[in-house]
Amino acid sequence: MSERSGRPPYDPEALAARLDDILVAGATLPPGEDDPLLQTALRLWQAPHPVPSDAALARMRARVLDAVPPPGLPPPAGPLPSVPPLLIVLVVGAGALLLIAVVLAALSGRSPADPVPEPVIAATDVQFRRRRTFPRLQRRFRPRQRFRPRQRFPHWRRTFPRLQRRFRPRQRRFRPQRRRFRPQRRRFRPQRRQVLACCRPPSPSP
Amino acid sequence: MTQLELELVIQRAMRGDRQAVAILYETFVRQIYRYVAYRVTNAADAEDLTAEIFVKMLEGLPGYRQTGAPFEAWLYRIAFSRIVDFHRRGRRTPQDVPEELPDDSPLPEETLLEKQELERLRAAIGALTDEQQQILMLRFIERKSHQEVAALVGRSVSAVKTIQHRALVELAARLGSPEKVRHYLRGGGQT
Repeated sequence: MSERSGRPPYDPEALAARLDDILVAGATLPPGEDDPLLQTALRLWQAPHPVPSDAALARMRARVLDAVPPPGLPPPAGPLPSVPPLLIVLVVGAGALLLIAVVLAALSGRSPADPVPEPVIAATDVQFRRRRTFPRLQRRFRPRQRFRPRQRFPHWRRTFPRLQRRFRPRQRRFRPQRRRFRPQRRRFRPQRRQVLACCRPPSPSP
Repeated sequence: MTQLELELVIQRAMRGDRQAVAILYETFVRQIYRYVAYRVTNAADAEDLTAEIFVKMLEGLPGYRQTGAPFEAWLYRIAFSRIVDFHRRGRRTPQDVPEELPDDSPLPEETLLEKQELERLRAAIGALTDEQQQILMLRFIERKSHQEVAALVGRSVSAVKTIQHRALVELAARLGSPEKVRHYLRGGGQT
């Protein structure tokens, strides 16, 4: 496709190999070779090389050697070790949290260094000791859940009685009970004609 | 200079030995100057940038670690970043200092042709990406092999060949065929 469009085929390896061969052979294109890439590469290879003048070399040398530190001084230290950004974030975050804790403690009137009040410890301790001693009471002393979704009569219904109808708990769906199948006993009932036959008066004989 | 000698010189230069610094300068100044001179428009800028690169090398020597990569690669990296900085700053000095070419061309016509060819190549190379410029410079101006170029730029050999191919395609499109250029130089009036 590329040959049809007039462009050389895309093969960097082949181009590099051909260039190597040509450059080793003396940097001359073989006769009949008209690959524009090879021509460009050879043109670059044979391009004039800018060379600094002796005066320029001397000026640059003087400038470089002037920058060398004198032998009496200690060599300049290398670049400072860089601090990873994650560490900076962690340190700043910890500092901010500590600051917030100090501010909250100051507002509540108790410093975070103060010990926890005694009654709190005592209450917690009693509860746990009891639970350890009487494991069967564990259920009884289980702390209540704050949110009970199936609570039937929430406290606000007592507070706002008008809402009672609206928030009446759902009634159970009516489900007709299935009747058990009981095969009925058939009592003997004489058929009508049998009854009639019994009660019929005897027919007069001809 | 062998690799071992070069390492010893580098260690002496790291300790602040002026003579070792001078040896490093003499060893690498011409190739660094060539590398720079193809990327900037005039000789004054090239000289200034080359001196800056070696001063940066001095400043960075205490932190230099020999990791097995050639010292040249580190030096070319400094040169590359200095040139990118230079173009980013957009510094332009007037072209009052003439381009200096080797004095082995006695005829002024040849000098003129060489200067024009150099300008044309410089303009075409300057339109490539930084990486393409670097690889073409090392491969064809510094005449290094693919393996050496790969070690200097820190890429694989196949990546270097691919970039070289793309760069040559781009450059050929910008330069046109050499026949047209020769015709123009003879005074044909066409490019």
